[in-house]
Amino acid sequence: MSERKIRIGVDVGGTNTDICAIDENTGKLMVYKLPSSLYDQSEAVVEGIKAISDEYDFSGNDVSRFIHGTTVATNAILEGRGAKTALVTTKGFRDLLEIGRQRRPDLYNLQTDKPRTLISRDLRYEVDERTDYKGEVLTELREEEIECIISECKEKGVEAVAIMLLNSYVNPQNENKISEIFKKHYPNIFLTVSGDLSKQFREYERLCGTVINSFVGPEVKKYMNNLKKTLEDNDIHKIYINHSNGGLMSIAESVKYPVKTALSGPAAGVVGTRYITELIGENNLITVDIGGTSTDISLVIDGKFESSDEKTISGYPVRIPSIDISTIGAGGGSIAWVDNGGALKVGPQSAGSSPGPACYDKGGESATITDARVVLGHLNNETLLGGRLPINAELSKKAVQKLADKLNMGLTQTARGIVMVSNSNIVKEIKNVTVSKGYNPSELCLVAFGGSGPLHAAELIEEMAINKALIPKTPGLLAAYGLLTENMRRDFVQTCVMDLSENCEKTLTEQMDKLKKEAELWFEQENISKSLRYVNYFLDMRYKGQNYEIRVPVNEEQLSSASNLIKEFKSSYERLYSFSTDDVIQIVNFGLSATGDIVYPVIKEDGYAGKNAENAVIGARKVYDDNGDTCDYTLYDREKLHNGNIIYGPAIIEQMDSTTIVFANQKATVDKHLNIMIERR
Amino acid sequence: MKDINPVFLEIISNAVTSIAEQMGVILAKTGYSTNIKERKDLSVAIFSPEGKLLSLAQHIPLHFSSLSGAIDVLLQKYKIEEIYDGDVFIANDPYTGGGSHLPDIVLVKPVFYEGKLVSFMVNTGHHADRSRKGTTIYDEGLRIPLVKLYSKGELVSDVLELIMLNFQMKYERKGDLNAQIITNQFGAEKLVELIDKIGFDTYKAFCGKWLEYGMKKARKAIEELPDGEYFFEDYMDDDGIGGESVLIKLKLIVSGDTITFDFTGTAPQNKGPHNCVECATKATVYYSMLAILDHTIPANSGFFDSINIITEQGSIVCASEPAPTSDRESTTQRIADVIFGAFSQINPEYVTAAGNGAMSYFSFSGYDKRTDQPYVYVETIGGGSGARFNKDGLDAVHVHMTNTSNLPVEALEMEYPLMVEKYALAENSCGAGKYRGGLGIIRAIKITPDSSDSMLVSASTERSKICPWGLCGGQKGGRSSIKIYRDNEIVLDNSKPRNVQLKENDVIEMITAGAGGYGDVSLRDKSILEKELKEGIIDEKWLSEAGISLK
Repeated sequence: MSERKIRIGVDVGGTNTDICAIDENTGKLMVYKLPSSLYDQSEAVVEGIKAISDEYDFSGNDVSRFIHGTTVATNAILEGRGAKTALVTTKGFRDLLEIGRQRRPDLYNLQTDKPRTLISRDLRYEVDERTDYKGEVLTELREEEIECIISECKEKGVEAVAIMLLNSYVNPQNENKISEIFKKHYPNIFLTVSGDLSKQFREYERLCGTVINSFVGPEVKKYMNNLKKTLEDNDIHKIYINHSNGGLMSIAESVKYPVKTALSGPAAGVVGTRYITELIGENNLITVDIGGTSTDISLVIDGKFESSDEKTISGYPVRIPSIDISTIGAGGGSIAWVDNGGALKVGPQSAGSSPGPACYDKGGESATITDARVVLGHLNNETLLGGRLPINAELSKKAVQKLADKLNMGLTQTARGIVMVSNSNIVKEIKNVTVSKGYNPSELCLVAFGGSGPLHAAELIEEMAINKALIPKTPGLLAAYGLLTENMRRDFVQTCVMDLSENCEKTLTEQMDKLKKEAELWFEQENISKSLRYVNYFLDMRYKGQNYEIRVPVNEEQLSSASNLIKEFKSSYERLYSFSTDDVIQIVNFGLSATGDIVYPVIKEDGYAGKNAENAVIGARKVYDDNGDTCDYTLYDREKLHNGNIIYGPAIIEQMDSTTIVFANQKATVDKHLNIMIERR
Repeated sequence: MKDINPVFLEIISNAVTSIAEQMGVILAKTGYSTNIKERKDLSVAIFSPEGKLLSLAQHIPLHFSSLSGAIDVLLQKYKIEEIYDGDVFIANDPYTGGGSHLPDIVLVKPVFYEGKLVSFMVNTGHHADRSRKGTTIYDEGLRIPLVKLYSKGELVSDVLELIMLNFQMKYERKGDLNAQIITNQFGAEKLVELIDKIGFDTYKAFCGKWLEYGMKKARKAIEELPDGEYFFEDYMDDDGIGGESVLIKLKLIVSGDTITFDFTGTAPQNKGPHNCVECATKATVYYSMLAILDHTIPANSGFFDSINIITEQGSIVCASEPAPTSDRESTTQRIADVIFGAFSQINPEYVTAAGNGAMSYFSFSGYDKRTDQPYVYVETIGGGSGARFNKDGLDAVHVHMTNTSNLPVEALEMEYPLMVEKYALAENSCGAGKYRGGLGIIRAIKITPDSSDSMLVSASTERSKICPWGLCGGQKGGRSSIKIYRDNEIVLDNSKPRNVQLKENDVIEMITAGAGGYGDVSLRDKSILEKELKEGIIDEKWLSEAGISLK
């Protein structure tokens, strides 16, 4: 018998822990879902692995890779619960953490507060030192000053320390000195040095990332070390952690830089989407992940997802590379209500999973999007989740009717209204994301996933005149699936502001060589074999005088010529703003993303089964349209659909974790990977 | 034509707001100057052809005024048939262009659909060029009445040439104006797409219904207030040029679903830069209504039209030509304080105690030896925000009429021959109370040797004499100050220095005001006071002045 190689992805979410595993030799896919453990995430993780390995009969020895998406750091930040942390910073700047960008968080709402300051003021230490913008040290550091701080920290029981000095992005000398002194006198403290995390300018954002890293550091370290031990006890040794930029890092790196996982939650779903669409040649996508309470929207262009360093968590900017995902409060549980001016609003409040929509019969009385869809016939009016969740359709009707009375509208008209308003909220965000980045949504393919995504897909593509929408095979498990498709990845970025001209070509090469060396070091450290190492370059550029950069991917050849770079910048700029000028261009950041390929296993393809989908028909359902008329939608069981099957709408396709709608003017085709592509006819 | 039911109202308003929001993103991203790009000192709006505001995406409440002011002037000055597709109007003048001070330049683009005027796209940005001050509007820079910059799609190059000649930072100005033009163009295209989709009749019906909705929400909020007359008054430190303090007086009249803001009795306009034209005062009233009553009322003309405002022509809240207006924002901050004060008589829980009450700024201009280029750098500094009935005020933020970001220290030091020495909370500046006021900010900037000797600085702050008030027994917040240090000696101590020449290594330091407290300090949780003492936010002296002992 040949050696089995099972790759496991475990994604922990707020409600469920999802597990996807693939047999690397046969391509067989295995899935398992269980409720997340609230107190210690690893309990459900370990329980789930045990369950799936029992069900599919494999042992720890068979596991080739264990890939984990965790929200330990995210939750600690959201709940403001972390280590007793101290800050060491340049004299005159210890309050920067509180001042931030001196904006109040809401223009009009007098009750809104700024994010809580994570380090109390008496633990924010100033050091008499200064480096200028050129990197010249104006005031040297005195070692005794640091030693004093260290003894105070010890006395006060400080558990973690963040070091952030002004202008350290250009010269980290003083930061590193402080770190050395700490290591010497306080070796067990959790330490974050800003320059290790980010070599980019703009001090407040760099400071936040550094502070948060130390704040959550000790807890994440404990969690990871426990998990590692438990897994190793079960003979699982190769462990990887999902980070916010759609890649993996070693567990050792995740312990050092836990902040890099802070925005990783929705990232794996985007990576999974990119993977399945690449196989079928769709490279330009809007990914829409609609769950119970929120919708995550992101773009994939030319097969690449968009990264951003400007994401925030809980009001704090973190300056770590992350997939550029926008989130709004719209999901199946979003509550519909009438405001005091008489307009129909949906969300952002959500009934969540408890009490949940009215039809769950768990005490929820507000009409949610799910209730509206039960009334309209979009959703099964007896059970959901493949029969596991009973539905009381009468309660949905009651909740929606209450709203209808307020609006002086009919029951089904109100239900349609709820769905339309929720779609308009999602469309508004999709437009903000696409149009602001210079893309036209109608030229992209929409990929809908999450429990509720497939319900909205048909409506969203009609609303935005998008030609097609893809519904992945397992819409509710895409994040766990995405983990299986991720590569090792680390991004290296260095701020170095310079005007772009012919005589700067030498500096260009020098800067990139520096980053390349750092990447080489990382490849070695992570034992990534030479043949599987990849690097991609990018530059953050702007017109001189501007303070907002755009990220331009470049190749090695373009890097050697200023005129090529100017051309690349201008074409990116034109795409975003539909004009460009001949003004001086500046490079602000040099960037390199290093990936170590984890070759993806062969995927099992479904044999061609012909166009006829009749074998999957399980009945019909009456669905209300905009005019309140009913129309019979043919019902299909997704489990019975095969490669090549074509469904002409109107149709509803049911599966365990989701429901897909196909309108009368649309058709749906099943591909060899069992995705469904809905197209407008 | 579709009936505009509550569903369509929400969907179409979502679509129109979405256009305004996208325009805001585009203006910030394509703009050139730090002020527009990084500090987002800009706003965009969509108006109906009748000049009614439909949707606003803004970062600065004060811009309510320049946007609607320009449209009012346009519709007075031009007949509908004199407005053509492809026209672009430009204006900045407070007296003939609907503006509120000269740096805010407004651009207006009429939008046509099948030959019919259907909307105006409007945006404004603060052009931080060389700052000019004087005792009349004529001294403050180029005045642009509302004129055509493009006529039927053709650039009126004479106008552009005339405008550009007046700017020092031509490169930035050109870029910012270009960004403003593109932004309106973008909005126009998106609106036409929307009308294409929903139909012209539906769009028209929507406009009416949407304004009605704004009015309905405003009237509902007003109706809940007890009928009566409420009074409040407060003073500005001075007229900005060393003169006397300036009175701002308000009588607030609530009757059923109507509300009147009567500023009669307010001080006359003066020769300082703080004069407000009426539209700036209106903007302040609109802001206050949203903040105090219901921040979910849409900022549209339906809402605005439900409020009565009475001002005396020639007063500091309704200035006449030729009063200078460059720093009118300081006054709007005090107008907001007075409005908050009047509402506190109705119910103190509606409002906050007085905040830092200023639009504090530094303005540096000179030559940068490194690039041999002139530079102008303006930054604003926040301060304390007033305590609330249920919690402390916010520390170190902008209050009321402004909310611009600061420029990162590391970006500032790279771009200008300046170095930031200190950026910190102003300890002890919080007004004592059951809930304390927010803390002010200390910011100290040093002139580096890379700056030429001819460099000039102007700066301004308020509440250096008259402190921010507390509520319900809460105490007053700390004062502001501006000082210039040369060789560690104070060489200037004045809250409004103007065009002072600085040398290398001179340091200018601003301390902005804190904010007033709420409720009696004896009711404050002692453990919080102990913690604040330990953290150095307050000291023993502050405690004894507040009349409290921790022993």
